[in-house]
Amino acid sequence: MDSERAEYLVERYADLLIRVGRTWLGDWDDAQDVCQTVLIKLLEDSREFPDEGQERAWVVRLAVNQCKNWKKTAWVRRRAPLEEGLALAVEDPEPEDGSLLERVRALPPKYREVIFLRYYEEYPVREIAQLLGIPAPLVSTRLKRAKDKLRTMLGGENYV
Amino acid sequence: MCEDFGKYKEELDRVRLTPDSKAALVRALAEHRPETKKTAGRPSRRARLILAAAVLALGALALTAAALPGFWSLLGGRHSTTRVDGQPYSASFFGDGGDPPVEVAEGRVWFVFDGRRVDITGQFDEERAFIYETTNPETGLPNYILVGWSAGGIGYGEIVFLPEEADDDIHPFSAHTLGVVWMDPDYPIFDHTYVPGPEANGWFSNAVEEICAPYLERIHPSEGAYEVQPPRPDSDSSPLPIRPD
Repeated sequence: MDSERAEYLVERYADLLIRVGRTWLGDWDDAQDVCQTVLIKLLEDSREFPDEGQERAWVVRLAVNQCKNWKKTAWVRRRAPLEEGLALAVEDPEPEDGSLLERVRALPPKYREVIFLRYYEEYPVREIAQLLGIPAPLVSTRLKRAKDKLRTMLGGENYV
Repeated sequence: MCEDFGKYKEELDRVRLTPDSKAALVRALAEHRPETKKTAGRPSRRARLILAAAVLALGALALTAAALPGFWSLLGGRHSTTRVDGQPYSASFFGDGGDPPVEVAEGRVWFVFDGRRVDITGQFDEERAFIYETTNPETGLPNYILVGWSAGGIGYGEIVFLPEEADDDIHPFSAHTLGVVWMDPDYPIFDHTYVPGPEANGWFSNAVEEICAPYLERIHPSEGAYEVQPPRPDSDSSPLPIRPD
């Protein structure tokens, strides 16, 4: 395999994939496996994109679909997609007490997912709906409920 | 976006793999060899043995799944409610045992399901699904099989309704795109968990809205929310949405 391509993919997308995996699956081990699996797919898929934005959107879509499949196939999943025992270490600074990241992580998965896509990846609601395969109004409802829950956790502080 | 979610982004940006891990990942990827592509035709003896083992494994999987709470969708998914981080969360699991409800033969598209084989050529496209409505025998609730056109292939999906005991706080429907039957023989065949990209999902999203809308206004008319609460199995107060022939 092309080591330059591997280096490019890891530098550009490994952190993003870890964040998607952790957000969707809530578990670092699963996030690592998803990260490796998606990187392999990217490595084996040589398609080209007109710009970096479209490539990143494709990677996010691959990662989200992989996470969705991961949930569906939880009992038959294949572990360690790359070499056996490749354990990755993640720098995950201890969130301050009451930090927003800590509170988002405490949300149920369906709320974490829409918060990530809306406020980290900055997708519009319609694209989130398409990505998750649910109606746009349901995305809006989940965003509203997620913010309500965050507001409750924060003692009434408001989120727009 | 408000300032507070800017903080969320800043905090999440600090979550990253260590440099050593990235270096190890690059090495592992560089040494990775792709699996040899399968060739068409009669499978080898080894492949047949693996296939037989897989069928046996799937049989065991089905037995295991059958023992779990929840119910089967008509296309072979197992739906249940689990708890994640202490919260109720609806989960769906798909095996690989079900046959696609659609096939292409003699230049026509056939809906093949529940003993029927119906020519549905021309009854669906990228934005409009062919919808087959029936009742899930386990829940007594509506169950829909959808067929649509997805990015060069024929996609199919299913919408099931969770019974009230699912106990999710928004009481969702469960809608999934289950697979794609590709008309082009050189195109890859995806498994039951493949979800087509956003550009390929118009027929599916539209069908979800069409099927679920009658429930939504009744449940949350003021918010206009897409939250679905199905009628109870013994209720006769709300007729099911009927799709005209």
